[in-house]
Amino acid sequence: MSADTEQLAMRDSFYALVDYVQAQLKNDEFFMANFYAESSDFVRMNQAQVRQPGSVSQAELALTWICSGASVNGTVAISGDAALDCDRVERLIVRLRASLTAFEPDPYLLYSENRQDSEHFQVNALPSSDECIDAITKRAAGLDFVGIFASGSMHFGFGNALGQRNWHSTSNFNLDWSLYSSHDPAVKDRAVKCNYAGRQWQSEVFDDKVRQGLEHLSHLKKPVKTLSPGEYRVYLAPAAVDEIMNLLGWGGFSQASWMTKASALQLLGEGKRFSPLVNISENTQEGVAPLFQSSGYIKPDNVGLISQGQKAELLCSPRTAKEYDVLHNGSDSETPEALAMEAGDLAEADVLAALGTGVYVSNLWYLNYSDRASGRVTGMTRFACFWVEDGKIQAPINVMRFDDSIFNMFGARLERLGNVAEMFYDPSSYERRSASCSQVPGALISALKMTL
Amino acid sequence: MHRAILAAFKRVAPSVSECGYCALRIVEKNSEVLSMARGVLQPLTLTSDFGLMVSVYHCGSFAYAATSDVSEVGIVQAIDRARHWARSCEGLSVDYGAFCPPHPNGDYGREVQQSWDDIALKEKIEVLQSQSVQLSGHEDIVSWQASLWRTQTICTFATNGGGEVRQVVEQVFPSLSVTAHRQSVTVTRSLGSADVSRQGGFETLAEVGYLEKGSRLKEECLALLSAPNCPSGKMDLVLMPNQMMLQIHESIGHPLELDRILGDERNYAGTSFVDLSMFGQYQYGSPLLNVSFDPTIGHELASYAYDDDGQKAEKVMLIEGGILKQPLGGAYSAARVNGLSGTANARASSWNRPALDRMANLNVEPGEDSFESIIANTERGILMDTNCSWSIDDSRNKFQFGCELGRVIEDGELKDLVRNPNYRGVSETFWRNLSAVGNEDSFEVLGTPYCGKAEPNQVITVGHAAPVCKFNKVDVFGGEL
Repeated sequence: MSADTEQLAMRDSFYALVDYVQAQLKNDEFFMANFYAESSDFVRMNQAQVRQPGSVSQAELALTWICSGASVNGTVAISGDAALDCDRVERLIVRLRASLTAFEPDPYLLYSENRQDSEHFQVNALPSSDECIDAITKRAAGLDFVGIFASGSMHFGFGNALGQRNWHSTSNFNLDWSLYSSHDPAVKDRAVKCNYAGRQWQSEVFDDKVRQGLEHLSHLKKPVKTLSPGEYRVYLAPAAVDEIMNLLGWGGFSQASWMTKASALQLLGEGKRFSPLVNISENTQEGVAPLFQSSGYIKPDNVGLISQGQKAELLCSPRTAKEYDVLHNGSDSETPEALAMEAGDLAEADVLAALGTGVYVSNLWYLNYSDRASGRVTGMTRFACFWVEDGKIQAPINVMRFDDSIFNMFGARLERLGNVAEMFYDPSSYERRSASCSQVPGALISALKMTL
Repeated sequence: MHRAILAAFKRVAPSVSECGYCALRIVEKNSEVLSMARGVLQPLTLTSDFGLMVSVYHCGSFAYAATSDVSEVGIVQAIDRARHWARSCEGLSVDYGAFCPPHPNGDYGREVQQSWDDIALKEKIEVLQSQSVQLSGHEDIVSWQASLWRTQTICTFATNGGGEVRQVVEQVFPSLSVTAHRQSVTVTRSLGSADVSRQGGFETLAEVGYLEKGSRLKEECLALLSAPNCPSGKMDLVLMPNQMMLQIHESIGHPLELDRILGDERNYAGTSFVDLSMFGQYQYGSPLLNVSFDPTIGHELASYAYDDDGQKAEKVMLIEGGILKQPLGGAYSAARVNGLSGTANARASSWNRPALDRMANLNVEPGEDSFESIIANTERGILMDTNCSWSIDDSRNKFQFGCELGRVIEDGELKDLVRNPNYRGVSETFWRNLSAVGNEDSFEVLGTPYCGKAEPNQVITVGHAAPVCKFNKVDVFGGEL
């Protein structure tokens, strides 16, 4: 793949910096260097007006310094000025060396000792943010449109004392928004959630998504229904299933969590199982994140996590592998970065008929464990959720809390999965823009416990 | 380096007549993380972050550009980029009404007794080893961890109207955790997401009881293994300060953020059940409820003299005698609402994110009741300690929270431990059931580094101080199904 000038300049400056680090090495020292940079535009909107437009250009270099089996880590901001950055790195190395004297050999230190170079450049096909904002504000004029447009490039680099060099440049946009009915005071709090993300902006695709959103919004104008606590037949749209998978990703598939009894899926294989319809994997090859990881290993293309309802592999970092004497699969955080759930046979057009009478849940919100050890989760419905009778939408519902076992929801009570696994690019941007994504279908569940 | 950057900004910043308002915020954050997990010292992590943000209020629009390039060229490029955004959004921006840019001068820094940097690494490691030993040593204990995280943040704020503020904040985030497992039961006791975090130096560890906490957490964890599941039903609920902090945070703090009320957060963090008409007359809680925004308590985690938009910070009562008085609104938000005064709570997680309405120190003021009298006056209830689960709807109304440890209260006495205690309620009515507020003796100053909000996302430190409080007729329940 061809690289653009910005990508090559960023790569070259990283390689030069790693060469500088390499030149600082003394006897029996080893290092690993992880680089991250992004150049992003963020434009916040409320009621189709701009609230906070801005740009962020940031870069950092993280070093792991190793000597006689002991290791310490340090990160410095990278300014782009080679002399200043070399000075910062040199001062960091001095501090790391001084700190190492307080540390014994690390029994769980494990890093790649086989050099595996790689370079991946994804062509930056993004239009200017100005063009996108122009298209958005024109299309959103007169609507209660609220959300954020994020766009720009991300760069990841790895280098170590063996001379291994890895580089990954990508760029994408993520427009995450909601449409509210606030022009009608009676229904002003009702909204639909929308997202348009990718590598190439197409205004007609965006226009179509707004049109679909407005169509869904029209259903919300009917009188609202308040559900009583109890069990309800539900269809969880892909975005709702994605929220559940995000929660399960919090330690659920982690080898370290399993070994310390902290996984919410601990009971899988101990009397509990999911429906045979459930197949979940970490599908790295389809993801946004680089294939290399922070200790220099190359991740496998795919790791099966749940196979036909039963536990398969876990995400395992090199450090956990060393601690528990198991094989690792190159995971860094032991959290999925490209979770993929296999689709089923329920066509979108048949969802309401298959649901019959029950609740169509478009989105879930603020999930947490009400009892992690037993796999019990709680959360709220959000945005466009509907009461359905005999396959027809009757009314939007007031927000409702569910509180149920994950083994009920995706076990015996899972009837069918949607026939399309929808792709979600994570719009999160805590400290930096996320490189995670997921692909999940909707789920038809015979009974879900609603509580408040 | 701050001085050199400041000098460069003064050379290149546009004048007031050229650009209206232009501000610079330089943030240097140095952190150190030390931890022991399952008895093994983990690699030290040092982080040194450095960058700047230029923000402008120009053409009726607020805009920003942030960069880790702190050279004069970098500053010029950031100014140009921010001005470009402001110009290109002219006529498209939200209306900032009567926004009046501040040009403050001042400083902030709290003297620490024992500088973190003066303590040898080996001494800090010994503290961790001691706690690690206290937490471990039983066949049912499967995981235990002791961590020390310290940050020093130096922030310089300057404006093109001569404003200049320097603030230095030293924060310590100590944490401990122990997990035990027997058969299918797993329980954890912890300091709860570093909830004893404070401003200060190494002396903070002794002040918050960190140095002898491990043994008690281990004992409680093992006792919980054998404890029954929490009973279910409507009963009185006594919350210890380290669960009060979560209750305050989620069902008072977030709903009172003015940007939520104005709709900015509706796509992500959510809206609020509070609207502008409620200020000055809405009965938020019982007459016992008094809530303050107080950035002046020196060792509380989010104290400061000026917020990140340069507003001078002062204590403000948000709720008095149960009546809602003020929102949490910084200068830009307050300017959007006629007749509403704001608080100095515009805060940014770092140089690479713009300031917006956040909690800082948000406290429930102490009342009259002793802890003993609160228990003695409870016929049937549950005491809950240390949050472990939190979930609330997007208008911050319907919530469900869980704690690590519960204790049954019967006929005015504390009885047996129970595990997996949870409760649910609705913010609108929950605080009206506040029936007792502890006095100064149970008042604890706590804080956490983890409050997430905003687009782009930001996680920020918040302080919460509260006494023990009691609520009547709450829906309580246990774990499992």
